Amino acid sequence: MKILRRLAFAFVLGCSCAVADDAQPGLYSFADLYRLTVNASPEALAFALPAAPEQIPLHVRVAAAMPDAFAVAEPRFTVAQASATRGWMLLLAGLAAASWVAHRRLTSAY
Amino acid sequence: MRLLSFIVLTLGLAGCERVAADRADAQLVARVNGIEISAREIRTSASPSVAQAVEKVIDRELLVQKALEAGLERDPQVKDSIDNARRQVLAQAYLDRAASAATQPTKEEVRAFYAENPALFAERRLYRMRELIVSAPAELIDVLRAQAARSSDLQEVAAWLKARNARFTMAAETQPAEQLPLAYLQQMARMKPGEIAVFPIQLGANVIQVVQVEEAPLGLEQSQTVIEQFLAGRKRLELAAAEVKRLRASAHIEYVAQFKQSTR
Repeated sequence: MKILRRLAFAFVLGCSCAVADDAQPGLYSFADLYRLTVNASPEALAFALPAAPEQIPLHVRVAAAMPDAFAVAEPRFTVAQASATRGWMLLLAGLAAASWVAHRRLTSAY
Repeated sequence: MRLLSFIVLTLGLAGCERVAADRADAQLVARVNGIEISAREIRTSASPSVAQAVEKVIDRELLVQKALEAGLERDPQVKDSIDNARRQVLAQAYLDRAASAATQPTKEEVRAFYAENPALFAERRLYRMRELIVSAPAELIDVLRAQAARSSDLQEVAAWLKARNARFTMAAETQPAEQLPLAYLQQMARMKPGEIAVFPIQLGANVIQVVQVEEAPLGLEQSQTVIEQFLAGRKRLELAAAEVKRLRASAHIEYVAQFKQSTR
């Protein structure tokens, strides 16, 4: 709600574009940084953690509404990546099996 | 002979496992106008549930089919976008690989972070506050700060601003420490109810009066998971940033004159 207010206010001032395009980490909360770092999106690379608050240029807050950082992370749909097929393993197993059968036939009395 | 049997069996099982994994990946999920959609395509979707992911991929496939029918892949702009997307995916994959070398934070690191940020954890507070978001030139901020120091209530500051035809909006809200801008937090943590502080922002200032504070500390155990995840994420980002820096240092980059200033 506050963000909407800020954006609306910025729009009234005729500077909404500049604000939206030029958001800086100065007004990021820990919850914002948590989301950015834990999600580790490539954009987050630009947002280094502040060493000391007074060194940071101040700017508008991140535009997205933030959930409680201490709440459980929202469920995400991911499927674990399966590694590539090892065809050579099957080939080797087949060769070994064939060798074994051949060996048995050649050495067995029956 | 037994050893040979064992090896054969082990290799066979390992092979079967791989095949099973590959089969699961290639499992048919749907057919869209005869085009098969496999589980592999679903995996890349970021939808919250499998069902939603399937629907999204179906929608995408329909659009792709129409785009191909229209010959959009030959459109120069689309070609450029495809190339950019491919490069982005490759860059991201490399970055992910570089960042995967990051180690998990140690207990000591977690403890140190907890201790270094009392305002977020051990001395965490919930702030009920009133706020003036003021549009003002930089030179007015010092005057505003002096006025805020003299005022006992935010209404006085508002009246003072009104008298100077300054533009501002007023708001009231309750926020926990972790939702406050880090640039404000140290000062906010020291403020008592009734106190007013002025925080400069790009186009003016935020004038905040703390109405009420409620202690809501978090113990180390409560905070541990959040801190661990945060520190692990930060390490990954640091590694990725270091890798980009290393690549830039070892690369030969030539800027075209007109972009030299804007890119540095």
